[in-house]
Amino acid sequence: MTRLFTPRGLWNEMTGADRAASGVILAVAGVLTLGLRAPGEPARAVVRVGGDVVAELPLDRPGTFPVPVRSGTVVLVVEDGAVRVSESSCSGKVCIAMGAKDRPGDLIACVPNALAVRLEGRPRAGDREAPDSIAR
Amino acid sequence: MGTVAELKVVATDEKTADAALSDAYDELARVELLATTHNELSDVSRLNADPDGNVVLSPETRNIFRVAFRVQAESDSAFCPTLGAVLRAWGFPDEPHVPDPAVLRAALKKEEYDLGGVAKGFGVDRAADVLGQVGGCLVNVGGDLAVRGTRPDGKPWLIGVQDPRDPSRLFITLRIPDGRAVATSGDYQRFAEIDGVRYHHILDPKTGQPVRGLRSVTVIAPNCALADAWATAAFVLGPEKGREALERQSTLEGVLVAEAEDGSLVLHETSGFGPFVEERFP
Repeated sequence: MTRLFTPRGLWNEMTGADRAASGVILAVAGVLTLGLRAPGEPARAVVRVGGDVVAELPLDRPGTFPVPVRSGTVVLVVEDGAVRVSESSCSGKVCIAMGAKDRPGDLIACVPNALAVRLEGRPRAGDREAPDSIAR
Repeated sequence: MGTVAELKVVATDEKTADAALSDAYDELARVELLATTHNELSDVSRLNADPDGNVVLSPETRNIFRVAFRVQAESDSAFCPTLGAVLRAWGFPDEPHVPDPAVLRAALKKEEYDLGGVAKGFGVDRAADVLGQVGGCLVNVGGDLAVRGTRPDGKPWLIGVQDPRDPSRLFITLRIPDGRAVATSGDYQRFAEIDGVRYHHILDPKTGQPVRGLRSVTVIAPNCALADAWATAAFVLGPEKGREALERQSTLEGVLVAEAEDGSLVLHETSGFGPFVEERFP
């Protein structure tokens, strides 16, 4: 059995379909402080498709949320204070492999579907400070 | 699957931020077109198609080559920018497979440029230069990043480094000051599992085989092109020689991550890496 995971590689690592799909999601735009919420409010997952916000999912409200995308549907699951992709119509399934995210600043992306899920919100008292970005 | 570009900038107003972000994105795309091997009109593709001809390279492509050749020389060729044919023999990135030994031997004899190990970092640097004219910024392309200035609260940018065993976890967080970059090479980034064996894309230039011994290498450098190339070089060199090679570079710090038999991580850090560490996770 062959499984391929390609979570990085702007230059030589995209399939033709991905490059045709514009390749890169501009995941975060604007002033860093935008999107922070009042202390104590639960984090929420802001779902963007093609740059447009299509949903905001509070992480304290469990549920399953199908999101229409260009190749079909991406299914988001909110449970245990985290969000993850459980199903995706994309070919690589890297978005599923990115796992569950629960900290403000975390990002899940499905490049072929131009979908980005960004966690926003102020860390609760006692929470670790969320990283500004992830090296991987 | 491609990658994600994450750009953050601290600006006085949203309009200024949007304009700067758009310019930085254009810069990323422009640099990509210089070095990609997926476009036959790129500088690198034209050079590969006509290695003995009179291909005129842009000044920026020449700069990318300078970084690549410098790291190649200083790493005893552990970093090799001419593995294009070998990577294709393995089918990376789209259809990885174990190549026929004769095909691999033939590919090793070819000098086909693939600047993927340094060009992405170069694009990150250029985009950060653009955003940095507006204010503090962070540019992250596929996990390799550069920062300028500070966050809005005046603190250095806080960067989490992915646990090579689990993409949903971090094993360390770093405070990265103005003008520094971070790049990681890992065996989990592009790989195929074939008959239970993992074949990843970081290849030994001498044998053409995936390098064993480390799970990841993260390098902090004055620019992302250098960090990108040295992360690959140190990965190829292995835990001890890789750490020693990074130590010899006065502007570099890094951590080389191996996995013990019990599944725990074994960290090999350069002597100046510690002050960058904000927090370690078990």
